[in-house]
Amino acid sequence: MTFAKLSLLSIVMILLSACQSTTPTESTSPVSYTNLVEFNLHLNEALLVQDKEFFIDRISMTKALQIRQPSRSAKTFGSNWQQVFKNAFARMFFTEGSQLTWQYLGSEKIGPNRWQSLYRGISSEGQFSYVDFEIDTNYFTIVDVKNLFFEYSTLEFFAQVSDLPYCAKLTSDICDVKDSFNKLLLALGAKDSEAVKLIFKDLSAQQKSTVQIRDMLLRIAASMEAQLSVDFIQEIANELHNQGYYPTLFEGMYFTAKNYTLALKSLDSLDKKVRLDASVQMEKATIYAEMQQFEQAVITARAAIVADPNLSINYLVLLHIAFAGNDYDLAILTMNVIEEKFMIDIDEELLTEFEYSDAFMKSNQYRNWSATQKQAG
Amino acid sequence: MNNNKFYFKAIIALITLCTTLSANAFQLSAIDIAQYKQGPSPVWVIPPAIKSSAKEEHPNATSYLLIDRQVNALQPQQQRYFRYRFRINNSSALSDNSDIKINFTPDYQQLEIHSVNIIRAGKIVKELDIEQVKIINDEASQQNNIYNGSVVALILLKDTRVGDIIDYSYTVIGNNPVFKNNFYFNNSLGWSITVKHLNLRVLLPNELKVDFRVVGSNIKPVEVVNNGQRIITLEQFNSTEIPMEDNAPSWFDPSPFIEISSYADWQQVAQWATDIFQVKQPLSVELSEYIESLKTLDKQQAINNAIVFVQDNVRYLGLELGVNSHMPHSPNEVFQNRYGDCKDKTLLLVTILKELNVTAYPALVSSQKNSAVANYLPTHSMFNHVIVKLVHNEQSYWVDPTITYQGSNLAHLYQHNYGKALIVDNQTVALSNANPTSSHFGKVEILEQHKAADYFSPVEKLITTSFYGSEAEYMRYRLASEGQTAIARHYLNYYAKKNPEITSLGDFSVSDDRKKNKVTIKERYLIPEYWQHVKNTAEFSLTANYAAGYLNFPTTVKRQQPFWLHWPTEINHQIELQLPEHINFGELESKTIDNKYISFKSTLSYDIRVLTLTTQYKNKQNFIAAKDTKLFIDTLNDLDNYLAYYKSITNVGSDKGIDAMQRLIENLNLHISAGE
Repeated sequence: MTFAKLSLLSIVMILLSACQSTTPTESTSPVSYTNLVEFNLHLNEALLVQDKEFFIDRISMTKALQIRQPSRSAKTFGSNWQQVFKNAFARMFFTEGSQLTWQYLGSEKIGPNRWQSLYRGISSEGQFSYVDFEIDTNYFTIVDVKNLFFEYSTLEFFAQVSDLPYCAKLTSDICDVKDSFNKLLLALGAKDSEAVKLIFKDLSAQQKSTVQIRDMLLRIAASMEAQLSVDFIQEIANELHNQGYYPTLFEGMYFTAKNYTLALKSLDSLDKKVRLDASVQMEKATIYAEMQQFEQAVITARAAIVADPNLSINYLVLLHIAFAGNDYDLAILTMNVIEEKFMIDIDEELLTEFEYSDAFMKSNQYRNWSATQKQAG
Repeated sequence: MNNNKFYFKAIIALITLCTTLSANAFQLSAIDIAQYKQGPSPVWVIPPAIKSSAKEEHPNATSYLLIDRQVNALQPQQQRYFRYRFRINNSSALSDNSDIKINFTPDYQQLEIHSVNIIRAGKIVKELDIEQVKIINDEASQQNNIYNGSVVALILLKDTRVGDIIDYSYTVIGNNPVFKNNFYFNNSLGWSITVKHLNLRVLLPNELKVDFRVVGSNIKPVEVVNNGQRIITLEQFNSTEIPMEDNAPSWFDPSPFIEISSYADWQQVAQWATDIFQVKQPLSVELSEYIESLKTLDKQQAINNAIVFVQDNVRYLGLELGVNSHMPHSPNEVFQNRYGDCKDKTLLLVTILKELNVTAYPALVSSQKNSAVANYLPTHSMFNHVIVKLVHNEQSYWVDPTITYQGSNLAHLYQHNYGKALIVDNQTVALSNANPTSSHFGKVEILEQHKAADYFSPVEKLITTSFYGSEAEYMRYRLASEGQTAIARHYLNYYAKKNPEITSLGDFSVSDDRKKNKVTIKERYLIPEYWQHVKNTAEFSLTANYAAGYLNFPTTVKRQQPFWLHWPTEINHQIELQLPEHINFGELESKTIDNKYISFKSTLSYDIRVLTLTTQYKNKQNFIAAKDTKLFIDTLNDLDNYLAYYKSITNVGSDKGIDAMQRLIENLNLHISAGE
């Protein structure tokens, strides 16, 4: 089957949240770095200030893809594929309206001159995501990126996809599920939710249990959230449960459905280095609070705060937990930190935004605190 | 903590002898049959001339004036004559030397005491009254669960004074029949203090072929053959003082010695041993059934199970009466009684393994001499322990059936390096190398994670310690004997020396993987005084010094003798301090020390908010040669500078919300203290 280059490139763009192609820009000269921390601090800064040029300049994934499939990359993606790829990829991190606040969390060595640098992205609503940048420390370039909610890294995924047209000649794992994968890929590209449901129904148990299909289903659930019904996403989630997987991607869905046990399980499925991160711990604390296990919620919230004492949103979550558990002393202490450390004014209007704040606002502790604040103010 | 040394001292204590029956029953029987009498010196003894001078100096607490030792092996019942003459020079020597203890084994020996005199100003003022002699148990052996039937004739001297000369002599008649007609004699020619006069005389039948030599001295023994007797004599005056320096290896013996052996070679010794290790009875029904149950398993698992069974289910108890001092009890008996000493357990295990078609042999070793057994003439006397050599998948393993709490998989079983062994087999012609090719290391990995929410609140400390090989076995033993609670308390108090206000959070948890021979301990603490504040700075220290517990400075620096280090051990200690914020530490130092004794690396690294100190230590040799003492001391001094890191962080007081944060963390810490 001849694979349409254009359609594949479209899918690449979609999967990378690309909206339109851009004119390739000239890269700036790279800055030399003495160590990986220095590079990551610079990269973190670039992500925070939306320095797309720096980011594009540091990407050498295309080189890595070319090394893996030297003769096929141009054929599969077109002659200008490298720059288009870079731009499309950069849009993962620089799309307006879906901006996350990124924070570098640390690196681990995975090979000679190869490191994985972990980043956490948080939205203004408190939703979080984690990515691993694979860094080549010979040149301080980004050779791969993996969203930790998926099975494959970006490079691995594209390598799989670009193997598809050549299944007649080569042996690749993707070829075992080629047809189903192809269909899902086209349906995803077209954002055709009905086609996705039909294809999913026709998948055999064995096909569903492959890592390629599993990864594709996760990408579909992430990219087509608006098009797919909650019931169908639940169906995908159930299928993965049956295989013993509890992807973190579905944590929000479980939480909303008040299935707190599964919500916790989905957070525990993360890699250990991420599981202990402040955002994950605080999410767990929130779940414990909903389960009315307030002591466990506070203990877990403490772990989150110790893991990153400068993440302001976590103190707001702790305040929520304090209200839910009627621990007014803890609430007062937390409010003091929010005001003094983060210079966020806590007034009645803000407090009423919290679900369980009514009783607290009628308490003596709050009255005394308010009076003290007024005197100090 | 030098677990290695303690561990092997325990091994040595276990293996010096074998265990007992009911102590009381044995005490009565041994003492009842103990035979001793008083009588004149045997006629064959030729006493040496004693020279003394009023101008003699006595610089030590005790002056050894004469050691006279004569052996008559002309008859099957050997006679061993001893005479000691020494002067008490000060009051400390009074308490050390006012009783006489003579060991003998009534099962096959009699004691004849000839004289016990106290000489004052040249005159005998006190002589032996036979009623003074008390026969007591050999408590030293019994403390080690070994009952060999030996007793002690105790003579308490009365009215001894500084300046007195004590002169006593006795003969022990009889020899252990297990040695048959084999003869071995060994006597030191040097001690830590001078012996003024040493007289040795050995009478042997001429037809008994012997080899004899002096090692470490130019003194020449005299051999006279006359009337069918071979008489070997040696007389030495004013022996050279040979002080023992601290922590010399157990196998190191600087003292010269003379030895006489009737064994022509190690092959003969092996043949003697093979004879006494014969299994003469058919296997009992119970033992056969047990072996059949093992045959249903795959061979690897059967071997593992057999080793665990003999180690953990047959308790160490030595009944070494008579020939059983060296001849093992039958496997049937050991299996039924579920007790035995090293040779009993070895023979049982070898028997089981052979029935499983595994090549296995008893192997005689020395826990003290180690490879140095090869420095002696062939003899049965140099071995104090027996282990098992087995061959599986073309690899040799040296398994000690007396060690408990080992791993349950042969591949990860710690194998002690005994250096040399004598394989008990008719094909043996020489000593074998008994160096394990694998699993002879002990390893400890420590990961400490320090988590700081700010520069003022207590810091949470999580410690994960993983023990492997011999270290795992030692920790397993400690957990079984001391208990988890006691060890947790011990650990807490150890940390409290540096941080007295430390509190423990939650359980001190232990997990044990006996297949991989790995024990893991997890601990969690809060340390209020982690940060030391000086003005506006917060000082901290990271100390990754677990390896320091294995390294001691020699007391004797000007050394002539080697210095024992420890058995092969690897220590990796990593500390990660998670800071409240990113700090630029600049360039961080690493250090590598690599010489013929020690490999050491200390690395400091930093990655966004986490400062890591890692020390990696491994010894390449077990001991330091005397000539390299300076190198070793310089190495320790150098290494000491890189086991810890000290730093202070400035402007900590200028952060916003410090007090509010402290109060919040204090409240949150109450929850983890209460919730665990």
